[in-house]
Amino acid sequence: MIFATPVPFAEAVQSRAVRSILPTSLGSAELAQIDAAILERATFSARVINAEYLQTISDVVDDYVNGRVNLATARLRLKEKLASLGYVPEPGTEGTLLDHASDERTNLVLRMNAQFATGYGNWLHDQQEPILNFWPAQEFLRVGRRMVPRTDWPERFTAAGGTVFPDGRMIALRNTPIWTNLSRFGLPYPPFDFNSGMGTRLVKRAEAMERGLIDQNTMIKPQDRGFNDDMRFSAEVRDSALRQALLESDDRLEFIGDVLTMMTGDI
Amino acid sequence: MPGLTIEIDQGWSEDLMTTATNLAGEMGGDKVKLVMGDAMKETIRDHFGEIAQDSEHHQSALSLGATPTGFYEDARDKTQDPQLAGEGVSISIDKEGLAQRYFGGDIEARPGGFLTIPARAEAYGKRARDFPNLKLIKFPSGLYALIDPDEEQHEGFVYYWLVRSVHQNEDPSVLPTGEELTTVAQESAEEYIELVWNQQLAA
Repeated sequence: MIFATPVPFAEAVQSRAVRSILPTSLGSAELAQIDAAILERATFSARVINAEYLQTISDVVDDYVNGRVNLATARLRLKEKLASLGYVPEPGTEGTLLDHASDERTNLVLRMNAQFATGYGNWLHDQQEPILNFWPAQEFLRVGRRMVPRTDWPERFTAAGGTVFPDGRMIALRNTPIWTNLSRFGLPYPPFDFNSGMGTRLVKRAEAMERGLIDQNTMIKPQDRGFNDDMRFSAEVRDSALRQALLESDDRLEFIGDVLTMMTGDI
Repeated sequence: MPGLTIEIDQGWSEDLMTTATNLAGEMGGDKVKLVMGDAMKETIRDHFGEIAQDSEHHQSALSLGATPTGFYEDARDKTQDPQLAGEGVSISIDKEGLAQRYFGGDIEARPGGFLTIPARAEAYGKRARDFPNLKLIKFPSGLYALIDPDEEQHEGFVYYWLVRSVHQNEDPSVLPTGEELTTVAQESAEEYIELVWNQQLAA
């Protein structure tokens, strides 16, 4: 029986709830140097220092993840917020990824944030013992169409420690470092790169055994990203913990007001 | 031909009983239902992943020469974990518009308003409000549309057609069939029980 009344994706919602707003002047290359487990707890966007806009991103992503709005409406809400804040793109960047109000940038912000939430939600659910037992491996495969798809995934998969099988399939055991190595963001779940159309699907033990990845009785240990623990604390405590973790993670990071910045060059 | 008797020594019998008890625990709990639910979820996600890359489910975008919006890829991401409820399992997909595609039906504009139907690639996947300079026009044919006032006021230069209502045909192909889901759930349950049985025997 199919009903037209979905219920909220609890784990994805939880991953959104533990995130603190993090204004930052850092670009994506600098952000990539920060520990994934720290950034996983923040709502941020490269070079967005306006906390009010980040809060709007957070609210709109929540609505998008919960299926309350479609992408077009979500994108429009971001653009309207930027307009109300008097945002004007840097000359020469209009319509590009550097223009916060461009379709390209707003799509990226919404899709990536939503994919991180649902990626985490699916990953967490699949950490349950019967699921790890029955599906101890997963396949890395294309799940979405792209105008210009990346073609170097097999090389990246191999470099991450995975095996590309003779039939071209990229399959590896779950909860191994292969997945965090493969991710540009250091996370074990999709998305694995900016605007990527690649995802994962579970692979049964029987097939994993045929491919020599595991035997009948070896069990994969469940993992946890600690969001459940985070939920026990108030938003203020989580904000403070995030700031502290960021400052301890890299001597060059500092907060000017509420804005995360990075000291560069000699002083 | 005489019959035969299989004699089971006590130690082996005890092992077997332990195995059976453990297996009963697997079956009596929610574990089998969880596996069945996840098997269905994976089937649904695989289905979305496949149709996300086909042409059949992207006729509107492709006919306009537009880039598809990633609707089914997003539906795949939003296919939720199975929820165990009583004797059954349910799977929810939080994707706005999916139920409309599956069930079909009429969509009515709000009173006094219009629905916007994209007429060109730039308009596809966007709201009319994304284009603040568009102007409402009524063509001699009686059709309403939104156009760019700087372009020719011709039916070939329309951004959006405006209508009071549309009817969308049902499209059950956006989801796997019930039979497919039932089969995969049943097979996975059997395979899971066999796996656990073999693991218990080997333990």
